[in-house]
Amino acid sequence: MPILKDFRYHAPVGVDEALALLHKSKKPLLLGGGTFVLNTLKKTAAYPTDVIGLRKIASLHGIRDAAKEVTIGSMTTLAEVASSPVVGEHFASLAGAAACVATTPLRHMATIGGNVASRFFWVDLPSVLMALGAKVAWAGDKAKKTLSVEDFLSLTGPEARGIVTEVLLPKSGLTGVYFRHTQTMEVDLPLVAMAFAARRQAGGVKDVRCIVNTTLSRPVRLTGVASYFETKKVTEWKADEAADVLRRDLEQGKLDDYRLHCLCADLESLIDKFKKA
Amino acid sequence: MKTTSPVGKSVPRIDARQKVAGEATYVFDLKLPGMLVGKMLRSPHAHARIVKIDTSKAEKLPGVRAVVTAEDTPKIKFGSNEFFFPYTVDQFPLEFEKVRYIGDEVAAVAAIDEETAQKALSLIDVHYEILPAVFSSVEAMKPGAPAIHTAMNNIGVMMPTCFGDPDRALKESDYVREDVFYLQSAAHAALEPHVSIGQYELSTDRITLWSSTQAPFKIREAMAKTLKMQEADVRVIKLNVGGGFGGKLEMFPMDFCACLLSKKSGGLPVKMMCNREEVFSFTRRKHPMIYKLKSGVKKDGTVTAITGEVIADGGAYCSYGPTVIAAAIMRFMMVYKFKNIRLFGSRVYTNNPISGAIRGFGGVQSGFAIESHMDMLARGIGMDPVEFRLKNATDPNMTTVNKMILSSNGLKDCIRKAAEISGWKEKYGVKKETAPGVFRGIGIGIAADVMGSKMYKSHESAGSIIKVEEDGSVYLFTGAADTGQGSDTAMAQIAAHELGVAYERVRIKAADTEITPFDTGSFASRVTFISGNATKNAATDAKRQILEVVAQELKLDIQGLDIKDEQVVARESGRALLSFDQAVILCYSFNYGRLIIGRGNYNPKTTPVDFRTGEGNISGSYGFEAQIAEVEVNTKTGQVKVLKMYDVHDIGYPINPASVHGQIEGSIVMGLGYTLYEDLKFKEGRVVNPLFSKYRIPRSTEMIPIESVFIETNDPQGPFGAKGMGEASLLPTAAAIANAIHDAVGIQIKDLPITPQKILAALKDNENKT
Amino acid sequence: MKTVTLDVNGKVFCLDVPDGELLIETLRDRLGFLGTKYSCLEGDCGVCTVLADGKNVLSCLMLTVEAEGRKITTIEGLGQKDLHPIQQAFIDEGAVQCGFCTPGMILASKSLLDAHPSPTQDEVVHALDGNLCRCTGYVRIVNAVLSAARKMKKTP
Repeated sequence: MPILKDFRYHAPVGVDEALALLHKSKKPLLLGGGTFVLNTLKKTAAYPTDVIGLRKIASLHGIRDAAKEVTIGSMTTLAEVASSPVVGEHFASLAGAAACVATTPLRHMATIGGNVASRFFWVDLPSVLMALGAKVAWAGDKAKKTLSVEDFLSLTGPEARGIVTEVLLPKSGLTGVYFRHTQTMEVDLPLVAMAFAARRQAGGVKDVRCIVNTTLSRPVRLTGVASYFETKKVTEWKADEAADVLRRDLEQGKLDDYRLHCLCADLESLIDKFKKA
Repeated sequence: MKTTSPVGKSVPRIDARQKVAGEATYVFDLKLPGMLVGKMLRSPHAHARIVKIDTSKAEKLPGVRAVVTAEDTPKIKFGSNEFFFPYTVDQFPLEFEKVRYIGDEVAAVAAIDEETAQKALSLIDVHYEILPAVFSSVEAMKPGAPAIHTAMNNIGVMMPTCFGDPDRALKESDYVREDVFYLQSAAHAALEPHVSIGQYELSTDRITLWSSTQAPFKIREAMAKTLKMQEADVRVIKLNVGGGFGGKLEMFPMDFCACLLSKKSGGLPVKMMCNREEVFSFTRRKHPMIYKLKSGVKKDGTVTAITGEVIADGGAYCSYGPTVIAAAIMRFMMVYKFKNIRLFGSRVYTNNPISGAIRGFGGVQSGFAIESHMDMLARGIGMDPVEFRLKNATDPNMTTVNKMILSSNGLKDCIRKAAEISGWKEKYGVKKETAPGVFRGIGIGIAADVMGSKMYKSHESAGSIIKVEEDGSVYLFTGAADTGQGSDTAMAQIAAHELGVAYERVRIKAADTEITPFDTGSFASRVTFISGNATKNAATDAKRQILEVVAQELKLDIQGLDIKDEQVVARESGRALLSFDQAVILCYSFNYGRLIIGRGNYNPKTTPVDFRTGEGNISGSYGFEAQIAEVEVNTKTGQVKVLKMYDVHDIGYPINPASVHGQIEGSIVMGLGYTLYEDLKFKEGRVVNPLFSKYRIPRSTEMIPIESVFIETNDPQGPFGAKGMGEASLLPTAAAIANAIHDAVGIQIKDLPITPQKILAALKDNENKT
Repeated sequence: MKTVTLDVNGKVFCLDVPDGELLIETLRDRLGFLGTKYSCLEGDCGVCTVLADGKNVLSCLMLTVEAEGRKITTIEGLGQKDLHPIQQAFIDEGAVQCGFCTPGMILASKSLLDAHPSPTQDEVVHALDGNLCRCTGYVRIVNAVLSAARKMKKTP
């Protein structure tokens, strides 16, 4: 004791207040659920001067169901996302993915905003959100924007200074599936994961997104695999063909055999699932 | 609530109420007035000579109350297997000549708070001269390897065993197999970290040490030795302990330094604790082993010979090395009637962290190697693995080839029962694809357990004292150390049962070296058997003292009296004469004035292991078990799922069935972890994954259905026929699973842990061969 | 330093704490609630579990300043003289061995049963996935939770 070195803590009640604090603090750190931040703080030498807790900002909480989209406040916990009837109805793969991140107490604390904003390669949600065509509402230093998840993840440096306020999910009637592999046990970090989403249409699928989380880099969009599934009827889908396309899509990544093997097994399961339905 | 005759009943644990209410005190929680924070300075190098240690800057830091190095000590070495293996005494509490692993203790500070103590550490200047290091046991044995101690070829302990004529026996075999098995290192991962509080009384030169330990008397002995003190002046107190599993079985430099710092700081108590990373990196680990076997078998299933070599990576110091290598070689000799054996065991020094005792000692590693190998031999002659075990298993009332005396032995019954409840006949060898690419299989492993082992002192005695107060309160003093396995409860049950009173009447004070009689500690599944017998004897003595007074008062023959269900009864008729409480009042009354203090002692009839031959009846009795695993292997992902474990155990007689089942379940899940998930990894002598996030122990989601059945053989030596239980169910688990995997998909994995990658690689190999 | 008002086990405490103090430190070192322990300080072991507004969370990953406004429950708040059915079930089912994981396990179980009074075995298993136990193999712990659920249903 004390476990953490000291800093100044702030609990702003509005986004603009939080942004102002971010701007004027020497070395600020945003605090969402605390599961990443407080853990890292115990080990890091790069200590913040100010920690800005987002808990009291009311607009960041809650899940709002509108006609064309669902908006999830960035401070919504993963447990809330996993158990939300709204998310479960329209975006089952997101609810499912949120339910298998880490462990129960961590899900009671970790937030969807934190999961996305962490920019760690091994987190689960970004790839699922990408597959569902989600957008990130982001309040930056200079402007407030709505970005695709991909664009948000590629922000770096001073450009990246800001607060994720909401995650917006368009209701596009997509069927989503999330595959996740770990090295040891369920609660482990993923070793490799695949998020898939598509809209069923007359014996085939349209609007296919196949996102792979290699956990070694940012999520990769498999355009070849998406195209393969879109251009063929479900009955024509063949696991070994799809696997070949997948390997071509991931050639640059130089993935190890085991990860590739898992992904090919996922494609097989995916094809089976769609063929049975 | 009055539970009389509690032995054999699953009474609630004697300490459960405090634990569920959050009131149980662990050394982790203890705070004393004026307590300082102690911290250890450890070597950052795997192998180096210490040229100079300068603590002057640290001593001057405001808030620092004491800094100690070896110069503050008598510079006496200690070792954990000292009595029989004086050559394994190789560790100073604080090093001053050489450091031999990353983490080796060099100095310690005590300060007013953690931050100051941490800063003080950084101000201690140690000048090291780095020496070449060696991290592989095989490399360390080669001529020219860096010499870590004075042991030739870095072999700290050797155990050559040879019985019969193995070479001829191999020649006479119908089938011979040669295999190498690789066992990884693992961590105990007890939830309470290592923690010590030392307090020195300056006016009397006496020490009090509170430590999270399984063996307070062992610490007392080592402290007295290394500080040149009398044991009477060193008091070691055990409170509740949050798990030990062998990782808290000896004196740690932290125990020593907490006391030394207290002395140097003017008698203030000093608390030293390891954080999780430090527990993983700097306390103890499991011996990684290379287990080479070449064995033969006859067509009729008789194993002709077992030959081979065991190489254990002992790390930088010896710790319980001899015991581990002995267990690695001797355990299977309790299980099988082998006549021709030649196994050469080497425990090798390396510059890795110290390998020590961990649940099962070397029996887990040998369990995997031998039990996998047995299955492979069985398959070689086309014999069912269960039949194969029955053909070669030991029997009751026999002496093994290395002179272990087996009395009660339910092994064959365990094997048959396990086969029966698991549906072995219908399942083994039957191809079962439950989903595309997912196959089921079943596999067996068998094991034996000791109840203590004569490896530490000339005696293995345990003692208990029972005092009965005037109002009928019963206090039991026992040296046995409960670290969660339930020994306090078992001792109380035995005491109550023998004394004839209700379990709820007994209060227990355990493992305080100043108050309780001697006990070597909680290890080798010895407590129920050895300490249990001592407790039973103490209760018999207390009962006799009470009955003597009653006999005198009522003018009856003491032989005709007994105490049952809290009543003094006439033995033959069962008629109640007076209540226990009345009898006690009588003892204390005017005419008698008799205090009731029962004393008991038990020393099992055992012999030490002769390390030149591997002979020795190391335990007073032996426990046996058979374990059958049912698994499912997904050939697409390589994932192995254990569907169910069947465990049949010769427990002699269960003192507390729920406790025994609890130990079995815990052992099996720990074994599951070692088989599939746990791998303590090292790089250049440093633990690479010293965190729960990277060293994965099983969680509730890895829990498997376990069917646990007892075979009661009523051991002639055990208290109420009981045998010990704490480790046995960990020994055959890995092999049972590996053998089941073979049954499912035709591959035998010979190195642990079994990962999906290994499964897929082996399947691919298999495919290429066919 | 901040002045915080904490609601722990139904009692209100007014304290001055450093901004960077973690709830586990405040509970143990300032308020004397030693039943809550810690083992890894990384959010992996679950030993530091407390309830925040009825849900199990990890006190080693929560700033004390952020615990303000939440109802915090430690094991002491569940029962010490009169035991909660979950505590009693742990005793009766033999789910307590070394006891270090026990307070956290019990609170995690309470969080589950308050939200799902009739859980399946699978739901219990998943609810406890954040609490490590090295002694029991979890079997009797899960049995205890299911037993407590049955008993609690009978006595509303």
